[in-house]
Amino acid sequence: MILASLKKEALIILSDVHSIGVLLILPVAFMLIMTFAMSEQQNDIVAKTSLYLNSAENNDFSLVYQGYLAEQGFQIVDDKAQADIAIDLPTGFDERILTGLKAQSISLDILSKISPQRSGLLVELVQVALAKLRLHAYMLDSGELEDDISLEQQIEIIGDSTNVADYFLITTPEHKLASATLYSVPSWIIFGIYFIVLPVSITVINEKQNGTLIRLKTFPISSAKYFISKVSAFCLLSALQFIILTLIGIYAVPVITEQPEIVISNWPMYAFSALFIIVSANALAFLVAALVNSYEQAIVLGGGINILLAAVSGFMVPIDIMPQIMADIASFSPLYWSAEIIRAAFSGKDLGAVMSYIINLSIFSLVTMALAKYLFEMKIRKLTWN
Amino acid sequence: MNAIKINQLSYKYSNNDYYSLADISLNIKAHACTGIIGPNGAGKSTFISALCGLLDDYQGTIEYQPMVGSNLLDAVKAQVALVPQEYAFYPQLTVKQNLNYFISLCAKNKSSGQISEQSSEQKSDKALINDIIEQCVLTTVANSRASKLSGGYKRRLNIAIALVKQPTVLFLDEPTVGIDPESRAIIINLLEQFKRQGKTLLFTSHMLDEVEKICDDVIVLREGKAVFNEQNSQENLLLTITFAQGVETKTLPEQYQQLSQQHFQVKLNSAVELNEQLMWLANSAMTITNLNYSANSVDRLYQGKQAELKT
Repeated sequence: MILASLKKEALIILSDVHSIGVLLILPVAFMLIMTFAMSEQQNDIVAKTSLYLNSAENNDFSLVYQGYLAEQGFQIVDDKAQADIAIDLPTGFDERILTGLKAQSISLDILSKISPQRSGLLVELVQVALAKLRLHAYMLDSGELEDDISLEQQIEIIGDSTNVADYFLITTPEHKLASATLYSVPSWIIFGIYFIVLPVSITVINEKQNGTLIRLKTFPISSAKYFISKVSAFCLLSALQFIILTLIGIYAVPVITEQPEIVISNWPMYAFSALFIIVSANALAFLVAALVNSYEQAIVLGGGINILLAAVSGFMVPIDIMPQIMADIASFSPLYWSAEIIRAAFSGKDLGAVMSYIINLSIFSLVTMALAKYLFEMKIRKLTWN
Repeated sequence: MNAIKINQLSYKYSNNDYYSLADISLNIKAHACTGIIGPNGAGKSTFISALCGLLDDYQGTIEYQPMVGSNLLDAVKAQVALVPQEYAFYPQLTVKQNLNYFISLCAKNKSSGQISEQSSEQKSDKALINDIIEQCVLTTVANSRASKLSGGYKRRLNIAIALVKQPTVLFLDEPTVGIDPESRAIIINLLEQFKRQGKTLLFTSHMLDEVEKICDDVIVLREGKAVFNEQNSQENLLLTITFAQGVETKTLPEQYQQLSQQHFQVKLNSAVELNEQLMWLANSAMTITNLNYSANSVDRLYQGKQAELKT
């Protein structure tokens, strides 16, 4: 019976282009878009920024400062109208660079519409360039920097002496998740899996509206058994969707987005934890389906909940740049637990590392599925032949 | 022999302050066709819902003969198939796929022989589906998607799905509404086949000629009450007699219903009875000024009962 139910649900979903769109095309599109968006490196961001430097006196150090700004990656332009950022140096800049500039004497105007995160990064780089200029001036003054070599060579010497990046060995808990692909692919696989809520809700609404639910009530099958067979069928469909999204995420997304390849380091754990994620997604889907009575409600409640949970789970904006309160909310989201489990499988962690998330998902699935079954049976019991 | 015994059945929807079914007591004959007629809002659908075990808190009793299972819904699931007025199937699936799915829901019960009296002759699912497709004249569209079918084919698919249960009792809600004459004829023919197969049929319709043609019994519902429940026979006749002024009518048998002072009507079940009455009248030497007879059609019964209730 479950096989017959699976075949029926599969045929219905395959005949509905919107369901395929929601289950496969939408998450794959998000994977690609977000991977592209997140793959933009710092160098790319700075290189896209044009800077206009204005000096009242057009003296030596303003030219050197311009050199350091170019070294940071800024595009130096001569026309202020074309600039994203404009810097105005005060009079006496050369004299005061070593003795000390007055507070707030350099004006920095951000002329274009730049996000707060990006403008913070750019201001920091402008300040790093000024720090290098002061070192440059100090070393010239002390004779440690020869003034008979070219400006480019002087800048290179200062650059070498201030390069401290090589001194650090940076290790993070998820060092293997450094690439954008490894961050976004797990997120959007999970997003797609939880979007099963729409096909499930729409199927139940259709069955109610076209009278098949009431007809089924007179067939020799209990509403509990029907519910279980329907859940099983959709879980099998979710498993198929999981496999397809995983294969696309691993093999297609890195190629299309020109990002480093990613691999699932722990396949058994990936497959095992996928079962918990699939059941959890379907439990939520059937709860929503039991609550809604119209397509509009299904879209607003089902789609809305999924998008909200994805947002608070750090799928759209990484959780580490969210305010603390938002990050705390994420720790209550089944989508967040699911994505963390998948990320762990990608980064080669063992099951123990994600056991708390698996327990959370199990409790969530049990409670939600029990409630969904109760509401579904209530819904069927209330049906009359009118 | 009765298929369903209904005793003092009443039901009130929670949002209504009146009874949608009010104290209905009647029997549905086994292996016969019973038509339920009545104006919109008379309680036909609620009545069928109650018989299908779809209402939880009705008053009175409904008993299937034999009563299979521990409650009404169990009995319904075992014996009854429902053909709703709406197209209750999956439009995205083909005719065969729909039938295959619904037959899968019956799998367990078929093996335990609960569905039908004919369980000893259980056919394989494939053979049964082929039979049903042929019986419902769906062969040419068996592999067509249900959503693409015309109204007549959809109605027949709606009936075909009910047949996968191999029911002994079949409830049909306006099975011929909104279809062309050819499809209607096929469905009427199908219902007559079911009758010949010994199934108990119960169906609602606004087409009184259909009811008259197929049904053995008629139930007229009005405001939740069964205002008429009687055998329907095409041989039912109405004999109307007008006696001459001054004729003593007190000696007339009880079955003579007085319409006005000298005007009487008598219901007869056959031409033989008509003959007997004419002979009796001839022998009685009573002077008759006018005499005529006509078939006591369902339409006439229904209109008469409606008019009677309005007064």
